Amino acid sequence: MNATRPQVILVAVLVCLFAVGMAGFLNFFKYRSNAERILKERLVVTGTSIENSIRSSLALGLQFADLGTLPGMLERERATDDLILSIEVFDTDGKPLYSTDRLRATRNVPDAWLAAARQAGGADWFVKSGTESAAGIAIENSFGLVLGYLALRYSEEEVNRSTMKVARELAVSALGVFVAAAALASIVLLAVMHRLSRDLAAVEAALRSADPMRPSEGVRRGPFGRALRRFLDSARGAEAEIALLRVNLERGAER
Amino acid sequence: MNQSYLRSVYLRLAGTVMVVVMLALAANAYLSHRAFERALAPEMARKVASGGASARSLVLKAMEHQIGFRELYGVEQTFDELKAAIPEISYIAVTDPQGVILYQRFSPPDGAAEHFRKPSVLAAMSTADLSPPAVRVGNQYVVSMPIVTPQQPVGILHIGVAVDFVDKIILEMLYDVVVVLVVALFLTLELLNFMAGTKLAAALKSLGRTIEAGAGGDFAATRAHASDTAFGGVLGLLEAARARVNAAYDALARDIEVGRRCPAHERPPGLTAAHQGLQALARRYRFGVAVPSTRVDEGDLLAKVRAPLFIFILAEELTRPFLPGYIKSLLVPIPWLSAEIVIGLPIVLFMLIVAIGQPFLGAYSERVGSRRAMLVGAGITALGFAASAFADSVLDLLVWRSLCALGYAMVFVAAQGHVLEHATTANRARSFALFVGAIMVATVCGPPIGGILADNIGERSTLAVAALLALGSIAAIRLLPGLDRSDPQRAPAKTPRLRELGGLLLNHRFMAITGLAAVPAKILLTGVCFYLVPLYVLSIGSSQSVVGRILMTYGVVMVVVAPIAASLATSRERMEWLVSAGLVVSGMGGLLLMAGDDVGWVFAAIFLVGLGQSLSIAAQSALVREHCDAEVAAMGEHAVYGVYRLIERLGNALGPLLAAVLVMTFGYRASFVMTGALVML
Repeated sequence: MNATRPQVILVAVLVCLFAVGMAGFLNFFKYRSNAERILKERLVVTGTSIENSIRSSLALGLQFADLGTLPGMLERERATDDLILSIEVFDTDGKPLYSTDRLRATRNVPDAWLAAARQAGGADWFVKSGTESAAGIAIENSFGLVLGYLALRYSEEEVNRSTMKVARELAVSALGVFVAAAALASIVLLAVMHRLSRDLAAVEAALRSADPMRPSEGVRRGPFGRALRRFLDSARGAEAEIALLRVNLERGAER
Repeated sequence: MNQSYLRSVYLRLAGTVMVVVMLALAANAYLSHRAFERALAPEMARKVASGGASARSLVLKAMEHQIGFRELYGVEQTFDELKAAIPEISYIAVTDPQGVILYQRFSPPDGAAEHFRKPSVLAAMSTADLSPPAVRVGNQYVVSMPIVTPQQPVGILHIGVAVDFVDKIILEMLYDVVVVLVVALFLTLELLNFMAGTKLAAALKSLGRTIEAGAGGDFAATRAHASDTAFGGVLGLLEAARARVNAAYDALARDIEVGRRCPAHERPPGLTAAHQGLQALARRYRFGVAVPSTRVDEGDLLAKVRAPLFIFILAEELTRPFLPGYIKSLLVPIPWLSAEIVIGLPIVLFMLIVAIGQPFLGAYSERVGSRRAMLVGAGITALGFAASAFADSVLDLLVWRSLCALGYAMVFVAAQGHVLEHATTANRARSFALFVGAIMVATVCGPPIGGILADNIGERSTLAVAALLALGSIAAIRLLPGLDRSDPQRAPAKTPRLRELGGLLLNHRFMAITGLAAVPAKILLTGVCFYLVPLYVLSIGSSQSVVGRILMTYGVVMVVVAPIAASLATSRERMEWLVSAGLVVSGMGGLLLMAGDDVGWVFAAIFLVGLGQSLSIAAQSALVREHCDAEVAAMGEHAVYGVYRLIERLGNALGPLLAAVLVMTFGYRASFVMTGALVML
């Protein structure tokens, strides 16, 4: 029985490790996907307000490449959110038209942005690439023609840092839960195993008693009671018959 | 006694672990809820603040045009637009510098008016672009953004988000957590069986054997070492009791023998009666020394194959929910073949290799030994999974999946061979239940875990996990005994001959069961479960985790219903009824998609497919024996069943191909319906 106990505890530990590990894993990925979703939606909300402003200007007949108030607005919007590194507006070939970052205003946007923007059609698009990560929106005129794209560049490292912080927190709580669960499961399993040991100990005590052929009520009612009774009846029967034969043999000898 | 007692011990142990696991998962959910709340509430606040900034700028623009702060027009429309852009918003309000509500929309949290008048909230107006953190007010997080003109502060924009947005995120995970719980239950049973069950079972068997021997009057001395087992103390005492009786008999026999050797006049008068009594005693009981058994405990050897088989099959089952989607992502144009058919090709090829390869691999396994064949097979499969994880296109994936199929077939036949090698006629059915049980439990656990992993770490990483599992199974296979044939009289495995194949193909009784029941059932299984469900569920915007859960339903129904159905298949009439009912029920599963097209209907469809298959699967095989008595007598059971399995597995290969053609022509829903109808016909 003692040899089985460590194995049963190992089962409890492994099962708790699997369950809590999987739950921790799910928690982390759920957090990450939700945090990313909220972040993207936050950037898109900012982008949409800029896009609405551009559309209003276009509806007034202004040229897309000649929106005088746009640079100021882009700068204001960039300043409202410390996550945004820069806001860029570029045409369908990736040529920058407006940017809050002067250094970037002279060179074409990253190929990944243009590819993602084209692949998305008129929908929102996202690129994850370190400090070149971006959330983007297509800018269309009143006829639905795509004139260019608006990209809000952000640093993924910033996002990763906060994700890792939560990951650590989740990992610590999962570890705590695992240790507690494994300990609790081990204790309770040992109690279950103890009951099994008790059943066996009762049988052992009955067999060691002065009159093993008359097991106690507890043993008789226990899981081994019926089988043990049959065993003892059989042994008692055989012993009685042997004893009787011996008595007969010896009595005959005395005569 | 020992089986039921062992079962009760198992149930108590597994039940205990399950209760603790449930508590652990609940505690984990509570702690993660708190962590999510702490981390996501500020993120949500920033998001609503971004949206609020545009609403605030509109207010300021209106004021630039000399419109009074209390006379703004269209504020509620702006609030509605904001809510449309950010659906999580529960409440929006604008207050004056004293905190009095001027405009509001949607449901205010309890205590909103009091909160807005607090000096700490009004202090926010001291900075123009301040976006303070969210504050919990009643059942909402409220972000308060100051509205400040160049001249003076004019008020505050308050945006509330219901706190239950975190609850919703946690609830979204509930299904996955339930999946983890179900898988943990099966894992507990498997681990208990693998790690402790064998020893416990051996000890209980030993105890049961000793008690039964004594109860049956067998007191012959054994040379077993009782102390070696888990119940050494009790066993020792029981053996001592038996030995005592045996010794008493032995002493009596010796005394009688001594008496009989004496001259007739010196013999005790009771000797003859005692001798006759002794002979009568020897007829009713067994005394002396028992013949020691040289046979290894076959139950132990049989049980050892379950763990590696479970781990190995689990590796393949992990891929079920995402494989068609993964193939789709690797599609390259292939002339003359539509995308639907190309997606089905790796699955068809896998099934074809398994079907055709098994008879030949059975012979290979016999030659090199089941352990070695399993090791080679698991190695090949691990390589196949690892290479599949790095596949560039569907073309190289075809090669890597073929390797997986070869390894799978090898392990499958070798494990089957191991069971045959170590099973006796008496325990063959139980041994195969052990074999099938490992596969079924893997079918329950694999797909949902595979789906969750694919959704979160990606298909390629999940294939890498499958490769690791296949490698892990190697460690468990190494614990198996080497080349050993314990039943030398058993006929060696042979591949079905063309003559046998031809003869059975022309046999209408055989083909009625095989062609009209077994093959359609397999077409439905692989066509619907392995091809249509993963692709269709993704096409309606659901996730691979959902596909995994749907496929788990099939496994759970099989685990629960198949043994019951098998126990009902006791006569030919019942078998025929079960096969017919099974085909109709599983066919109805396909037809169910006529009623609706959402995930719930797919769940119901797979439940019916599982129910139908579990009703018919055991009865189908048994019916072959019932209907083909003459063929079995002429060709042997092995040949008839070999051909039956071969044709049945060819149905597995046909399923995805047929489903692909149907999807190409009629679309997903019609394909479900037509596959179901085909089976019912």
